[in-house]
Amino acid sequence: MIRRVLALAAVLVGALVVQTTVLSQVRILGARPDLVVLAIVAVAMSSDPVVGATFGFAAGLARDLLLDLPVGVSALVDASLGYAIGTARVYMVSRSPLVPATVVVAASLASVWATGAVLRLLDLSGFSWGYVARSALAVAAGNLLATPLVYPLMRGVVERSRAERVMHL
Amino acid sequence: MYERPRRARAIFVLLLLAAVTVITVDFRQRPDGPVDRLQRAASSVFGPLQRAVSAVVRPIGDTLGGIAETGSLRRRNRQLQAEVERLRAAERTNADLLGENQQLRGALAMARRCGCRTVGAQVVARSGSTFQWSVTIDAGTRQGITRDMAVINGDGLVGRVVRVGADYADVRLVSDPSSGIAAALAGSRSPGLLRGRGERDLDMELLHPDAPVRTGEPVITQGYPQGVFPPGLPVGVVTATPPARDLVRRLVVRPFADVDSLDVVAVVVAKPARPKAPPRAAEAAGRPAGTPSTTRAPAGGTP
Repeated sequence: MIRRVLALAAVLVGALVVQTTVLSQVRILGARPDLVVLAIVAVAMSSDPVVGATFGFAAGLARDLLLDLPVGVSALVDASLGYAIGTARVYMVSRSPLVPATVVVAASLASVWATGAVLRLLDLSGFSWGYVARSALAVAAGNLLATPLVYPLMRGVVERSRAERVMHL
Repeated sequence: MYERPRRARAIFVLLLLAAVTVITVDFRQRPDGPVDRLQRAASSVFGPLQRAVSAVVRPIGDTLGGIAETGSLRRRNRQLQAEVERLRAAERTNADLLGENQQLRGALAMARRCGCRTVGAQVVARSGSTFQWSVTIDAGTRQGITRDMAVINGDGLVGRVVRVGADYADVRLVSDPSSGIAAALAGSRSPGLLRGRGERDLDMELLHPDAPVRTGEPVITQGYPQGVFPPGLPVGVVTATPPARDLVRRLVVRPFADVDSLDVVAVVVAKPARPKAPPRAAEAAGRPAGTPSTTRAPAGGTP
């Protein structure tokens, strides 16, 4: 259990540090990867809705505390993301690499749109919906490019930390 | 291992409620509230990590950039390539130090212009968020930095400090949608409020919609007794003057400072003792006034 928590914490801290130092300056063809979303997908796809939601909540809270967004916004969005992916995972029977890639794209689009919507709801709307749409596409494209490099690594760390292995459905 | 759906739903709802509670507490708290303290703690834990990673990845990024620029290097033999890379790395380090030196000089000149006392700092991290324009710098309370201090570089105003840890501070950039700056047109001194619009240029709402304004006119900070910014700091230049709509006149202002590629900045720790009249447009372009000092070079860089 402790090993699992430490592994999840390592994935989260690694993703946050790389995101704020390396990737914050990188744009590949206008695309910007969001490693925290990748981490949530990796964790939720190899566990259940509770772990997915809890990891999402922790990741979102850490992201909010480090950044200057109203604290709790990313926690709300990322917990929902983790729960949704953890719930939907049992229906994904194919082991094709296209499955995580599709989930990563969908999660990236959902994450940016949901954050934009919550910020609008809180009346912190200094950006247009056009910007939200463009950013969502940029993050989805960036994450898709980063998936083959980062996703197997994150998933490997999460899977190896499990005390009891769960059979893939 | 698989949780029963009802329990999973209950835990999920609890997490959502917790998130909403945190949002509410954050909105209602005073500057030194519980969430603020948590944020400072998070910054002080991540700050050293971010600084270490920044120090490592900066030369790597530069080297990668160099290789991309000179694709023909691939065709040369390995030994020669290694030699070229070694020399290039050394040259780049020198260029890096020279660039940092120039940026510090620029910031110092800017401090001189407003008669402020400043502390130099290096940007160690940027917000990786889509909805936020901020940076983390390697100077904090130990270097005399407090909340709401103005941050400048050689080109002009960069932003203001919104959170301070012992050795790190977070700076909200002028382009952030939640940033608001009391500003004035340099020529007519007509006041207005500047707001960030993210990746787009700034928006300036003029207090007097009929005030004369022309494209290319510099915009400077407006000083008032309890204000955050020293008066007369150059912020940007008017790039478009659309007509007033519903008695509101909004101008488009391009910031002088390139906030996307910040490296070395200076934090204004003490404004001029007696607020001067804002300088005229010509002064905003570069005449020194007052005796300032930059007390500290950025910790992460030049020896």
